[in-house]
Amino acid sequence: MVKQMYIEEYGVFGGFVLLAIIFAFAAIFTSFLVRAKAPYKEKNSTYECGVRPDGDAQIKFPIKYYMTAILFIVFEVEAVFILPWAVYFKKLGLAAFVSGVVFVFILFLGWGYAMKRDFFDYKK
Amino acid sequence: MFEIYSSILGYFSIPYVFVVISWCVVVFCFCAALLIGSVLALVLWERKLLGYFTVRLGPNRVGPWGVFQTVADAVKLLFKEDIINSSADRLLFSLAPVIFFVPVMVVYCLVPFNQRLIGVESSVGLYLFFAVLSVSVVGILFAGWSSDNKYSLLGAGRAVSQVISYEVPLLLSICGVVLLCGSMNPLEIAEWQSGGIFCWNLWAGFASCLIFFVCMLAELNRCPFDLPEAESELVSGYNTEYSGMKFALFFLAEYSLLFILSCLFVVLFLGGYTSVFGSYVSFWMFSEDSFWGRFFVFFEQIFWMFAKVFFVIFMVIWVRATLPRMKMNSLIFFCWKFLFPISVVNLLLLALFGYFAG
Repeated sequence: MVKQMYIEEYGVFGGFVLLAIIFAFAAIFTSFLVRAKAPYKEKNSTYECGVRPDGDAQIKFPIKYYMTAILFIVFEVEAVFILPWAVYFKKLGLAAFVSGVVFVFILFLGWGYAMKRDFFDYKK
Repeated sequence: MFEIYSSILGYFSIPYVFVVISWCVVVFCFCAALLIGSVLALVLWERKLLGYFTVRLGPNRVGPWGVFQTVADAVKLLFKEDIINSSADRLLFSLAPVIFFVPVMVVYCLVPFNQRLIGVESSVGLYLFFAVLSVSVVGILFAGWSSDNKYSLLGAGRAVSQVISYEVPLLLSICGVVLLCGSMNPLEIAEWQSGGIFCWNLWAGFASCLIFFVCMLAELNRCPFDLPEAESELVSGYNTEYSGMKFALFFLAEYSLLFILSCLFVVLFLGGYTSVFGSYVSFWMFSEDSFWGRFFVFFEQIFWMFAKVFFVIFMVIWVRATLPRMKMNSLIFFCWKFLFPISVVNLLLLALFGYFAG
């Protein structure tokens, strides 16, 4: 019975993902069949408001973007841990509240460090 | 719905595997029709409303009241030439719209439109919703990098840092709702608020509601957070080099994301498909067990759901017509230095409230 439930939930979900991928490719393929086609050199050059493209665009990023991404992973994982905690919070009571506060406090230390190092200041 | 469907097919003694597969196709067709229909209606509605907000008429040439304007636009996009930049990475360039579109399409099956109308009812529905949705960021990154265009690269950098930054307070505000309802199943969350307008999570989780709304605007790259697509500086952001059907997929995904996040907002804070009055109007006329009572309540729930969803979308468009654009540094600053600590404190306060109240 449990196995059947999983098929009804996640089997259908997996099938849905597959069908969505097929849908997206089918949309592109349909337009491939009917669309106009008249390429030439200038049309295929990089769009820079009409002037000739100046240099490559695949260049180095500012490090701030990577910092944001790394911090995102830390705090996203925090949220992922907190969600199940929130579901069972009412059954667990005060002990859950205290451990939640401790967990969040430790993360806040990391947040304070990131704040002190100006990770979020895109001007610098 | 699956029980009814499988019992009908079981009557003809069709094997279980085919029942599940055909059910999957049925759910998909329903969601695809809803997605395309909602986007066609939404784009027209937005253009009309923006027109009225700025004392214009908006589209009014194609069909009465301009109703076929977006249909005509969609047909036009289908026949447009697909230009691929000669210095672009062709594989990533073609994959990007698909990766951006598929997760948005998939989450349509996780939101309840009434008590029975939900594609996949899962006890970890909200988890699944955001786990799938965050994949679409990869599509933005692919699009910006593979285009070999400076506007695209800058737009993608901005879009990705903005979307992932605002996802943190978004999830924390959802934690508050989950804490109040004690469930991650969207159906149970909606049922929990079925006592009418005063039982909505909007009141107990008012701060969560505001945080969710702001983060929703940022996730959607909409005004006042539309920096990735700032027309006056970046042409069109990460989809500058796209044309034809690939651009259409980006466009479709953006607007359907607006629709589905509004649906989620309604389910989380505005009671979902439940009635504003606390009891369904259908049950004032028919008893709850009678066939007609159940028949009419099916459509009444859909009516409430869509009425609330269109109210939320109206708010989003209203914000776009009112507010100017933010600066990039103040955008990131606002998220990490203000929204994040506020949402954590709000979560702990809600936990205290939940502990003493329930």
